[in-house]
Amino acid sequence: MTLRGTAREHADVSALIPWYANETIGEDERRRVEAHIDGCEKCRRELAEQRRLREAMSSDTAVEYMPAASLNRLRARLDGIAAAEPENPAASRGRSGASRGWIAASHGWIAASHGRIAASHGRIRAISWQGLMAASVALMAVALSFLAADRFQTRAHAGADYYTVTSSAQRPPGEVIRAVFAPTATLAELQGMLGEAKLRIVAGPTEAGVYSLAQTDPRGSVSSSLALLRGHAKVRFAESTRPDPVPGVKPSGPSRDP
Amino acid sequence: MPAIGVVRTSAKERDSELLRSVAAGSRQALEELYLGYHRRLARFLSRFTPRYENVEEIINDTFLVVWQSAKDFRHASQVSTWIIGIAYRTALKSLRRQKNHASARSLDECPEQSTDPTFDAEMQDWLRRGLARLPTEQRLTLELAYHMGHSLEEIAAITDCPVGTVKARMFHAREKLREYLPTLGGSSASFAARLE
Repeated sequence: MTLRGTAREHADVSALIPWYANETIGEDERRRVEAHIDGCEKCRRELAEQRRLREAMSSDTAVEYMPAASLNRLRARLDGIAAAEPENPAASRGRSGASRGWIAASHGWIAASHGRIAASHGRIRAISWQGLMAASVALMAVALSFLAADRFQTRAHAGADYYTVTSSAQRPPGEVIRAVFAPTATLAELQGMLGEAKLRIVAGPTEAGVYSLAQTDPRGSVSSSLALLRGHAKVRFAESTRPDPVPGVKPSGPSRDP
Repeated sequence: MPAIGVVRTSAKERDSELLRSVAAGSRQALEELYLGYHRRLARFLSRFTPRYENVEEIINDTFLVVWQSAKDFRHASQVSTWIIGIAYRTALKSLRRQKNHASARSLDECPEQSTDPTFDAEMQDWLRRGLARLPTEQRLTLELAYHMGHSLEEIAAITDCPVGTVKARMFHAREKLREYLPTLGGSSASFAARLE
C-alpha cells in the first residue's frame, strides 16, 4: 500500500473505531479494523480510549422516572386535540391538507421541529390558502380547547393521587432545591453533604423520597449548592425550584442566583 | 444468541402492530408504546437535561408527533429508529433553546474540580462537564453510540444524516473531548490517563 493509501486507510479505520468499541460494527468492517489496528499503535490507543469512554457513558443514571404522571399530561393534551376536532370537520386527524394545516398551526413548533421527518416520509403536502384560512379559524378553536385542557388539568391535579418532584404547588417556605438521596445514604453522609452545600431540610421526605432544602446562608449561591449536591454519588436527583432568570437580566444583590 | 434474536424480532413486530393501531386511532396502543419507550427515552434525555419537566416535555411532544404521524410511517424502517429519530429532533430543538442559558451558566458557576478524578462520582461529574461543552449534534451522536448502543447506520437513520456526517460528528466529538477533558480536570495529563 502506498503512503497515501496507508494514510487513507488509517483515517477510514479511525472513523469506525467508535462502532468497533460499541460492538455494533458489521463483520467486514470489523475485520478491516482488526487488520489495521494490529499494526497501528495510534489506533490501538484510540480504541482503548473509546472503550473507556463508552464504559463511562454507558452507565445508567440513578434517577428513575415514573411515567404515570407524564402519561396523564399527554392524555390531557390528546383530549384537548380530540375535543377540538368535532368542531372542525375539515380538520380530522391526518386526512386532508386542511387538517395538516390545522395541526401545523396548533402545534407549529412541533411541526417545524419534525418537518424533516415528515418530509422524509413524503406525506406533508403544500398547505393551500384555503387550508391556511381553515387553520386560522381552527387555531382559535384550539386555543379555546387548550384553555379547557388547562381547566381539566387543574381539576385533575386537585384530585391527583400522585406527586411530582417538579410540582410547583405547596412549596415549603425557603425551599430552593428539591433532592432525592440514595436509600443507602447514612445520616452522617446526609448531614455532611448538606453542611458542605450550606443547605438544611425544610420538608420531606415525601412518599417519593423528595426532600425540600433551604439555604443556611441566604447570601450563598444556589447554583453552587446544586453543583455540590449533583456531584455527590449519593444524590439521585437535585433540582432548583427557582425559576430560570430572564436572559440578559443581571441578578441583583450579592448572590449570583436569580 | 438465538433467544435474544427472537425477543428482539418479537419486540419489533409488537412495535409495528402497535403503531398500525395508533395509525387507526387507538389511544391504548399509543399508551402502550409510550410506556414501552418512556424509561429508555427518559434515561437518554436525562443525560442532557437534569430538569424532569424538560425530559417529560420532549417525550410527550415526541408521542404527540407519533400520534399525528403514525399514518405516514411506511414500516420500511424500524419503529424504534423512527420514534427515537422524532425524540432526537425534539431534543435537538429543546437543547438548542436551553443552550447558553441554564446549562452553560451552571457549568460556569460550578467550582473547578481539583481532586482525583479517578473516583467514580467525580469522574462522572468531570465527564459530564466535558460532554456538556460539545456542540449538541456531536454530543447526541456520541450518546446515541455509547449510551444507547446504536450502530453507525442506525444513528444515520435516527438523525436523518448521511453515514459520513455521523462519522464526522463523532470524530469531532472525540477530538473536542480529548481537548476539553484534561483542561477541565485541571491537569495536562492525557485523556487516556484520565480515564484509566
